[in-house]
Amino acid sequence: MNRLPIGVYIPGASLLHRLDARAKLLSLIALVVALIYTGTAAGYGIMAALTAFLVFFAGLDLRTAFASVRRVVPFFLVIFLMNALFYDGGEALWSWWIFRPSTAGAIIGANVVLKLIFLMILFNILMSTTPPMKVTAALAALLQPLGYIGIPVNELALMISVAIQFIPTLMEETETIRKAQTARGAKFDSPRLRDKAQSIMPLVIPIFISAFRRADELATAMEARGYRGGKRRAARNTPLQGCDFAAMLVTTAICLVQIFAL
Amino acid sequence: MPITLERVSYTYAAGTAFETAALDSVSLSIAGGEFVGLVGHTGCGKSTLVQLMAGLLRPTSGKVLLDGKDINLKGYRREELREKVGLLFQFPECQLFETTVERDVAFGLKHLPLSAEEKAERVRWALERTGFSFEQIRHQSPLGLSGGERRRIAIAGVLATRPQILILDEPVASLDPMGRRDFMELISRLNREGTTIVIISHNADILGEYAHRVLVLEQGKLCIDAPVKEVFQDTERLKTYHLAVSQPRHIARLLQQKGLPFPQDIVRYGDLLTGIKALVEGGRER
Repeated sequence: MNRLPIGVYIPGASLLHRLDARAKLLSLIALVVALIYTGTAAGYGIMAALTAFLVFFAGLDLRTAFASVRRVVPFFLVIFLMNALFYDGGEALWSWWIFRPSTAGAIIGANVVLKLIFLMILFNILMSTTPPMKVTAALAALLQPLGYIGIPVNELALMISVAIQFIPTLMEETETIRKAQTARGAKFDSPRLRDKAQSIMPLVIPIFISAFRRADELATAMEARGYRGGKRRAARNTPLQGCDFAAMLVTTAICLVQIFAL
Repeated sequence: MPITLERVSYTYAAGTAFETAALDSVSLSIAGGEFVGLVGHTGCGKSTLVQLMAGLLRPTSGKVLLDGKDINLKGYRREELREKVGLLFQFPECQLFETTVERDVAFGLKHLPLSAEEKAERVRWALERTGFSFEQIRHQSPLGLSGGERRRIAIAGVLATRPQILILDEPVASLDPMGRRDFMELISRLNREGTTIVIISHNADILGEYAHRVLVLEQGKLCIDAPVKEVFQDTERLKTYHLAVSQPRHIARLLQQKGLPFPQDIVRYGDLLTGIKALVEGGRER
């Protein structure tokens, strides 16, 4: 019944915690590109080994690392089945009504699902080893060139970081309201579809109201402390260290291997 | 209807980086009609304890028995639990969602086997109990009302189900003094009519005035379980739990230190006044 917070920073002193946030972000981007090009068993092997290595070095246990993945298993199932049952190319194994399952479709479905799983775990590793403030600073630093063509980079970075920071808060609040409505007789756990449908409104409306109230309060609090748009305010970044360059090098190398060699 | 906890422990997010033990082998029993105060430092497990009592959490180990029946066994009817145990969360005004006050208060009645007239009657009763004029308020949107009014409506929503055990998590936090007194008078009246009350509160005056018995939790363990008069006598011990006694008890103690003879068990303003009157009259006779 109690859900784990996902994407929450877990304080620690691991190798990954100590890496510079910019280096981690760039490495993540490199790995995402690598993932897009991954298609062979060997490719997935490399990604799996690397992910396992990262989880280990971040000091995460498996349950925490897989927390976000476990929650969307039904979604993955739908993606897989959509591909497996409705893919147009390839030879159909049999066909009935609108269904025409094919091996090619199943392979594509499995590919998409695997990539999403790796993506979620990698993202989770970044978020649980990097404080949100550092993510913002890194984003602002990396997006800085866009500022020259008139894009409000600092605002963008702030928006992203605020959105990320509010995920755990909103999840906690959802849990509280869910419990409060359960105590009043809402049936969230009931297997009956009717009960489930009826319990959506008592959950969604209070959360919307509170999200808007929070946004309002945050805006007021920021203005009260002298926030004015258009200025750079993210924390200054310290210079990159040797291990930061090493991390970027390794991930870029993996990216290149996935694109050209496999 | 007694509620009993047998060596109940609860651990949050067991087996992950966020694992925290919230309750450690807590045993207690609350008889029908009692008025129990639950206190403790922030994060001591009070909220977890009441959520276990209301069946919103399952204990990691141990049993919660309502009227002798284990509420976490598979065959137990949850509807029965929801009907008998009412839980008012902290800041309950956040849980309102319906288009009219009347419908919001009736939300908890939806699944109860009552006729439409009975349901309407209960909504009227609950709203009037919480100090509203039923005809005036019934068609208003709960979202347009003030914070204090919204809280009273949330309370009406819990009262409408007529729970035999009413659990309140910090119900008077951020209410003004008048609102606080009105609210506690309402709870006290429900208690006199037979409802069991379990109240979490940091306000020692409220506990001294209304509670019969006080439970003190510290780091997930039940440290004190005794009548309020007994608990408030040991000021030093309470201090080690970061807790204070009620103002009347405090004043009586100061006067005792000045050499005035006062009984030890003063915890309410009423008792303090009686004590002072007796002193004054005694002085006159001399």
